[in-house]
Amino acid sequence: MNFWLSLRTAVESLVERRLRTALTTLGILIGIAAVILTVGLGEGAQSRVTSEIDALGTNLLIISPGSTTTGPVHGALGTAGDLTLTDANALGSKTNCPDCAQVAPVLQSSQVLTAGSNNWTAPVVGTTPSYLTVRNRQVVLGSGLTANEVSSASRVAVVGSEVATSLFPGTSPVGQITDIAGIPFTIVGVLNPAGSSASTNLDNLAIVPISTAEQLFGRAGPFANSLSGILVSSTSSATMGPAYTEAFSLLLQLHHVSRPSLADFTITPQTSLLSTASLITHTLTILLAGVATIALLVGGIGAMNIMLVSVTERVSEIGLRKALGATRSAILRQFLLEAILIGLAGGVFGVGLGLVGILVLPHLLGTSIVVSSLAIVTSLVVATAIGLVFGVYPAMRAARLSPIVALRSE
Amino acid sequence: MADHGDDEDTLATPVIVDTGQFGTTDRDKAPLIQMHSLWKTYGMGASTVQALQEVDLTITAGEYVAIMGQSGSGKSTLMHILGCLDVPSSGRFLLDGHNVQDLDDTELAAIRNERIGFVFQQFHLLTRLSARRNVELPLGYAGVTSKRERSDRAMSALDAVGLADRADHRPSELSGGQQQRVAIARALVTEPAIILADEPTGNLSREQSTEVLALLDALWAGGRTVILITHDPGVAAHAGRQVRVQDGRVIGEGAAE
Ligand SMILES: Nc1ncnc2c1ncn2[C@@H]1O[C@H](COP(=O)(O)OP(=O)(O)O)[C@@H](O)[C@H]1O
Ligand SMILES: [Mg+2]
Repeated sequence: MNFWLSLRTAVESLVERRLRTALTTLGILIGIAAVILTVGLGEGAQSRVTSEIDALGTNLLIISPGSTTTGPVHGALGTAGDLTLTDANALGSKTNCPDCAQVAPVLQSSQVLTAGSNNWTAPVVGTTPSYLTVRNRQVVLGSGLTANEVSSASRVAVVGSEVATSLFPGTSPVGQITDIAGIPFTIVGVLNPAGSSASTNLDNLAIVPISTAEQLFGRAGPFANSLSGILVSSTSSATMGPAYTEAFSLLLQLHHVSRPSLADFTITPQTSLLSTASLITHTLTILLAGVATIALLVGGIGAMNIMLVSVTERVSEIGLRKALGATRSAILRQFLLEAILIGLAGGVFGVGLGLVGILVLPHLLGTSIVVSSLAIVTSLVVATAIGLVFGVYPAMRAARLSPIVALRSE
Repeated sequence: MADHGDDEDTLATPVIVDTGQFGTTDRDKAPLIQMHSLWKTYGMGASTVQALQEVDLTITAGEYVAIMGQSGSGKSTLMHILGCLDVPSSGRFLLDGHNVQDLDDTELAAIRNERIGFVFQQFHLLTRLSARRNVELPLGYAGVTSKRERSDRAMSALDAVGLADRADHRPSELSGGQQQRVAIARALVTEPAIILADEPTGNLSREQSTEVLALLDALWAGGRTVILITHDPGVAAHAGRQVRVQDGRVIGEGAAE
């Protein structure tokens, strides 16, 4: 019996038992849709985390004051947890830290910005021109900070897109005046929109020269000149490690700390943020995919169960076919084809349902779902394979039936 | 029917055309079917049933043989073995001189497909297929890949049983007699040498039986070996030779009393 005839026979017998075929398919369909959705959700979360962390800057080392390890009092003399412009300048020197590309000191404070009758609260970041490079940001309107403005402590600001539209709705903010903490600043530029997430809003900030920020909200007393942090970019992603080591030992030396374990600062490479975050989403994805896989297996076992019933019901047909000259392999092929078609149909409709879910769910859940063509193709292959695997046993039962038992059954 | 014994009982068999060429030596050269002390045992232990006991039977090509006996006497069992659907528990069964026990599944399937046409009491038509598609079934297993050829051959087989105009009807739309004629068309579509009919008229009215038997007579007249299983002496009388079976044993030959 040639393949096309077997295929036709299989299709006809599936169509004849429409309802049963549909119900059998449903189990696999739901499993496949669940897999598509959970993998899509996982990949969506993954890509969002990645882009969020990427948006923080490239090859970034974040140096923050204070130790990550709690322990006996260390770094006495009231300098503990203190990062200064001196530290930042030292890091910026090629001889001290050859693998550091750009260094941006950050002195940050939340301030109220006003323009006319509009006011808006945003983090105000005092920094240097390097900040934009380190954070991987661009100025889309006007210009960024200049070294001149930093050295002369000019009252100029570059604002994020959200600040711009909030303070100057409908007009270009460049050249306009905004008051920050009651002091007038000229807006010289607007940053590219970079989006927001649950944890950060990259469009809600104002950048001012660090010198200006020190005058404006620098602390008094022993913590004068203390920075919120220092951002350092390495020359390439390959030199993140060396840059880390160089910055670490340089700061230990500057802070007169003898043992690394007593460091009064913390350096966090962006990659470690990335890997921690990906690890979490990855674990979640695996968990969800595991549940979906179990759903798929249950669907497959359900399909096998129904196929076994189908074989039992059709013993008379099988016996007749054998009497008419069907070999064992012809019967096996017919039933296997039916099983594969059920799997394939479950795969196709499951992917369809998954795609519908991917269109609808992001609106309901507010999460992004990424679906790759690889996931779709894999789903189809897996669904077909499930049909095949769970169809083998029923098909073998059918093929092995004695024609006598089969013919006498009626 | 002259060559098949002195049949005084001619019955209503209008289609029979005795060409007079049967029974000549070229048809009788080798026995088509040879059974030597064949046993068939079903079950085990206390529930053992000896369905066939020490059966010796020789059938020559071109014969029209009726196997007669009461219900439960082992007729169907014998037919299943003759049709290579089952294997004997012991004894020898040669078909065309080949020992059937030596053949594997594929070879047995090929024999059933090419050499034997089955007609069953319950017709065994597939309900979802049209008459034509039912008749086409053996051709699919015979490896006839051309859809056109399968269809043409099925149509001429249906034509031979007078049902060409019902080709597109499903079995449920046909009378019992018509269904059995479709089954006969299916049995003859591969042009097998042997037709095995197990109680072919068992579920039919007298009128329908007459039509079906006329077709079997015609098949025999066309040169095929026809083995007809029945408990009805009137039906058995169509055959040139009657083999009587009782309790799994062949108890004799000749017309029923
Ligand atoms: N598969 C089987 N298992 C057990 N006993 C069987 C089986 N098939 C037939 N028999 C027994 O074998 C005997 C002969 O049956 P069968 O050949 O069908 O007789 P007939 O066709 O003459 O009515 C009966 O007693 C029947 O019950
Ligand atoms: Mg019987």
